[in-house]
Amino acid sequence: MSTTPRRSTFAMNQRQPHHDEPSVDPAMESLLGRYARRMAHRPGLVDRVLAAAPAPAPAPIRAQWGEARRARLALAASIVGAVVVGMVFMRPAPVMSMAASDIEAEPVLVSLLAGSDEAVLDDHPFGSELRSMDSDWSMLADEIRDIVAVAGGAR
Amino acid sequence: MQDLPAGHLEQLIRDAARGDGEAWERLVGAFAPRVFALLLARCRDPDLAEELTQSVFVSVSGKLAGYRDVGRFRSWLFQIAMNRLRDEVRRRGRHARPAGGAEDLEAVAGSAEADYQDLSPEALGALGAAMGGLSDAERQLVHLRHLAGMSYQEIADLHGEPVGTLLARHHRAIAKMRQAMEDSGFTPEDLQ
Repeated sequence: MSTTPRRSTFAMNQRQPHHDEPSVDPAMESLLGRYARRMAHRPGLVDRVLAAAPAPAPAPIRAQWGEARRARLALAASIVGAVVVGMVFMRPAPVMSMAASDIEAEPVLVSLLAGSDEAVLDDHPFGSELRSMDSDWSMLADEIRDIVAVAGGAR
Repeated sequence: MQDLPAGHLEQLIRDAARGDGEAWERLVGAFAPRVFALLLARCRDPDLAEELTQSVFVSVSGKLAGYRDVGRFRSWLFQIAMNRLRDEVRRRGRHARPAGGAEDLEAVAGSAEADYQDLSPEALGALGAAMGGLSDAERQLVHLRHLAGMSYQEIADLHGEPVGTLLARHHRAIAKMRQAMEDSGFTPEDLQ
């Protein structure tokens, strides 16, 4: 016997019996254990297996790749979300502000469009009408023309 | 094969899957001899058995990061080994001959080094003859139990058979082998 057992020999000798069944025939099982050690004995086997099968690739590489992918997805989602929010909240705002400025300038505007600075129609509730109008510019222009026509007719 | 405690084995697997080279070496050192012994017993060709053993661990190395079936590593490993052997046998278009018979074991004994002669050729011959008298199912069970070092529960997981059935079959196989050896003039106690 060699004084320094090889890795495989040492490992085989360390085997402990399983606990899921008592030995039915200790002598036979001991003999089979020796047979198993002989069958497993292959000089240099473990070294050749290690040379052929290197250690698995480090798991952190997969994790880093996954995190990078998640970061890219989060960035893309945030950009898309910002665009959607912008479309929802930013689109009506200029229209609303312009309509409001028109409403504030309503008496002067109506007078000028009517061609006379005497046609001040402070008493007419144009403001409420304008507020209820469609915010579309073409519709607003039509409405203003109607208002001017009304104002002209009133004169 | 080194029988690692369950928790230790699982820790070793986790470490190896994370790329710990030392853990991988310990895992291979613990299981490669068993895989080789099982494959050698099934194909009776030491070179093919080693080639397949290397192939099995190449496969395990690639799949270990995805291994999630905690507590069933041996079943998983030896299933890969048996599948690899079956594929190779199919590829070569011939049947693997299970070990058994004096000539097989004597051939193995002839390949062993002089300092590892813990069984005489006569004892090997008697054991081979006894193993040759087993049915294929009994012989495979003996191989998985004693060469692969699997527990009955692991073999049950591998084959999908109840543990009780395996216990009864193993008991019967051992009794048949003892009887065959005694018929040829050997008693296991004499060979200790």
